[in-house]
Amino acid sequence: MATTKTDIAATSKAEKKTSSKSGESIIDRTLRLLSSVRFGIVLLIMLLICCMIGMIIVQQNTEAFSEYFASLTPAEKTIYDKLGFFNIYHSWYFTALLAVTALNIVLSSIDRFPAAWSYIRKPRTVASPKFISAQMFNATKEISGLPRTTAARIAAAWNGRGMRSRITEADDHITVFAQRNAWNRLGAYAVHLALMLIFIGGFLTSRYSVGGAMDILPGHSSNTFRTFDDGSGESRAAKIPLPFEVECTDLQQQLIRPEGGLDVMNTVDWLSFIRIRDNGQEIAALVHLNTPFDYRGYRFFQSSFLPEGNAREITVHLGGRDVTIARNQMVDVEGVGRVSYTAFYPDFAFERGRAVTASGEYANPVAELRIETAEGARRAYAFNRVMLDAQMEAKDEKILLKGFEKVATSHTLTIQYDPGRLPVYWGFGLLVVALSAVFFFSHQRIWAVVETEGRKSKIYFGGNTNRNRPTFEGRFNLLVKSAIERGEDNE
Amino acid sequence: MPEIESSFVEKLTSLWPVMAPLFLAVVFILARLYAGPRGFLYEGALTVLALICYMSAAVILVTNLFAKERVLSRLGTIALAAGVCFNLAGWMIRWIEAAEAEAWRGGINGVWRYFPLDNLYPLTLGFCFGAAITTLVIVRKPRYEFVGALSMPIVTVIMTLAILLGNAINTLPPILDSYWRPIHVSVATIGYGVCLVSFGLAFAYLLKDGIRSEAIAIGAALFGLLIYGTIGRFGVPFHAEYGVSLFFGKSALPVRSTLPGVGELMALTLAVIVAALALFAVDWMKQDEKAKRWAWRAFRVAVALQAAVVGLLFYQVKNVANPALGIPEREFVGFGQWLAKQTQSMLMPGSESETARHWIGDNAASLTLSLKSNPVEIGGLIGLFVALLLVALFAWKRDDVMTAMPSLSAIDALLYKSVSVAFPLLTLLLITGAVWANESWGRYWGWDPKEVGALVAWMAYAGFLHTRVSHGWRGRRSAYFAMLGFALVIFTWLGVSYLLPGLHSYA
Repeated sequence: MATTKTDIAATSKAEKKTSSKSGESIIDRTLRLLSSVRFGIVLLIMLLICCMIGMIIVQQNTEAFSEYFASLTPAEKTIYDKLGFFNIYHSWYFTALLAVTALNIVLSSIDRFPAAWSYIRKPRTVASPKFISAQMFNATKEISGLPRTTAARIAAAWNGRGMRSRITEADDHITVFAQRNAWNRLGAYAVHLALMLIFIGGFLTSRYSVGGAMDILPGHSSNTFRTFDDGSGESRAAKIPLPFEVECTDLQQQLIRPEGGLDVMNTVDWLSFIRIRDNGQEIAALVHLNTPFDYRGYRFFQSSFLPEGNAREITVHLGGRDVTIARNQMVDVEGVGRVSYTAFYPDFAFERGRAVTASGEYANPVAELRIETAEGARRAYAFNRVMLDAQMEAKDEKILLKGFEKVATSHTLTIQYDPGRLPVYWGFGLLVVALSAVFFFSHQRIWAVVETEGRKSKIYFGGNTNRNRPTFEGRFNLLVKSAIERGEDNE
Repeated sequence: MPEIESSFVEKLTSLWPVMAPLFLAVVFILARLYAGPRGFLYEGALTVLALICYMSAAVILVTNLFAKERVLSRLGTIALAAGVCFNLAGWMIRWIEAAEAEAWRGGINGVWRYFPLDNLYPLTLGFCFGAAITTLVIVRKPRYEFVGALSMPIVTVIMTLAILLGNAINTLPPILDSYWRPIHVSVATIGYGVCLVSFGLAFAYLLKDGIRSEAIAIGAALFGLLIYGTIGRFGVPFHAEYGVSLFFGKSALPVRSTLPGVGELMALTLAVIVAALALFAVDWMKQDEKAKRWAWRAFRVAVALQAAVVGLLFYQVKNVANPALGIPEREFVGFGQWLAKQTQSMLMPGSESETARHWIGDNAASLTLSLKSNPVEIGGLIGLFVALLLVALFAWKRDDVMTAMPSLSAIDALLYKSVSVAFPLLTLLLITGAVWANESWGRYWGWDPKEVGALVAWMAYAGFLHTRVSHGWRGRRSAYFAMLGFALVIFTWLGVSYLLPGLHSYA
């Protein structure tokens, strides 16, 4: 649409490219194809089709895959497998498509950059009436006054309206050129740079990231975690060492209805309190749902829990009063001894002379205590009210379990080490800024060619924009109006 | 008078048709917060009121396209604005209702736990709001009034589908209790809404560019084939039967009960659509005037039949006495296997039908039919009716439609402008989704179907933007990309949740 000299140059350059030249080498032809926007659109469509296939055919690393696979006919199984449809996003051709698309973006950007840069470096400051008439917006006005004064007034008026004006004198006319947001010509390149950053980050993640899980239990510590490789669909657990030690100090689960169970739909939050021991330093941290903890490039996420009922702290009636004991804690009870709580059975049962739990539900909660006195240590049980009342034999001590805070037996933390994260986040940030800059601004240019007509000045106004044409139309008319008014004011 | 760029104050005052309904919605929300659910101040009522307003706006604005009248254009804008007000009020009042259901307990981020974007129903309410408010912003200028005629019928169908989804408030899955949810899903709803409007504009471009009405009719007929070829587990083309899933109490079962007469009527409609398609094809290849006339006759008959299908479907769902009796033979085996899986018991091969029959016999009294059992299919059938109707209407009054629209370059500029708003929003959608996933689960991209769906829609719009750069690919090809983009948005919004398993299956 725009037809300045640089635009005409760019257009003819592009047209030369689309027509085939004899004697062109294979390399030239390939490069031409690889840097063409049309080819880029074709690549996009091919990527789109592959993604659609990946959505419609269940991928092998999803939960529903085995059921889906079983429901296919043998023909479908063979064909889809041979074509790589069950793991299409990691197939060689998809990766190749991504690589060629990245290459296309880079090459076509390099190809078109000089033309865009010339708008900034060599703006068209001299114009002619013929040039003006070819612009997308134009107007002709006559006002009194000599050309030089008129030109100065126009420049001043336009500067007052946010444009940057420049006056150039030629043989028989004066050109006032004003523009705004010339940098907008480079917007697309910033967008592509951001995309490349994201690609690089993605590549780093796929090559160098390490992820896995760690099960934690209060009082236990570890300096390794287990990992899964799900690229091929097989699960190979391997142990990855951490450069520090992670100890779990406490676990907590916040329930919606305290009388309900530990199930997911009754839970608001899972909290894992950990302590990191690194070279003599000790750092306490909390990892809870949707709130990860970062340490030395490693991120810890609260990801799962073992739904076997346990108690974070218990309240027992001992030595004539209520005593609260936390998990792995010892309390000195007067008249009884040092009491600690060593185990919890949510669904207590006695099997072959041993205490066991029949299920993970809080059906019959009983806590196991260890009482230490000067004479030695002994085991005791704190029973819930129902069981206590029903007990016939008073062989064991009758200790009442008055209450307890429900919590899971163990939590699972997901650990992620991802060097690709930063480039990707920077790419995201740059992409948002670049896209906003591209679409909410435009490179607006306006010319006024002033010629002498006796004692008056004849002004040819022309305007051009690279996007948002309707908005610019209003602005162009406003700039013309302001130029005339200013000129007439100063009569 | 040349159009002059308006001052900032002028721009602000011209926004009052948009600000007024938003302000009124805030008044309604505050009233509900402090005064409780009085009168119509509850989400269900407000959403129905919004639907009525959107439907009226659609009818008025389409009529305005043919019989341009000042009063119609005014009424249309008022209906649209009222719809926006009720839509937003209902959607946000759902926040209050969810909080009250848990006695304002609060979650990890306090009351943001109850932000109304947790499953497909409020997402759809937001989608309609985004599209309607975009339309309202655009139709303030008289020469862009036609946009309402194209977008509001689509919004009406989507709103109807929302109501069919059911508005029960469920406990939030804990993993969704993040401050990212309001951000990411809000961007989704507004972005999708703008995409809807750009679809309407792309269609308007094609119309103004002189695309043959017969080509549009072929497109609508193919849409019809898609619908009838996929609904009801392929019952229509193969068995001339259509049924909806049975409800047992509040849950839908994977077994359907055939609705008497509906399947047969659908098969007839399908046959007429195929006939119309064939005749259009003959006309396309041979320029046969007679074939064209008969094709249009068949098309108009299809419109009437499709209306009858929807009507009969609604009637039968409400009036069938004993739905358990309507289960076709072929459904029993699958249902038996499903029952076995639910009770985790092993079945002797060959006994699946028996098991199913026994269970259904025992529970016949509690089995009901509801429009909420297959909302996507019923939404698709209603959508097909609206599509066929509008295509027939636009073909009949093609000249009026063409003159009611501004120049091709004006439509093109508006289309580009709408995509230049939609595209950054879709980019932000992908980005916020990736960052949320990374902050919650430790990976920013996992090729999950919903992620890929959003990416695919984004790629289609990126394609659109680049057709403007490449000479010779502007014009119609450009418009096709914009339409493809919206089709993929619909697939991401609905298809991924209903057709495909994965992480995102709750919304």
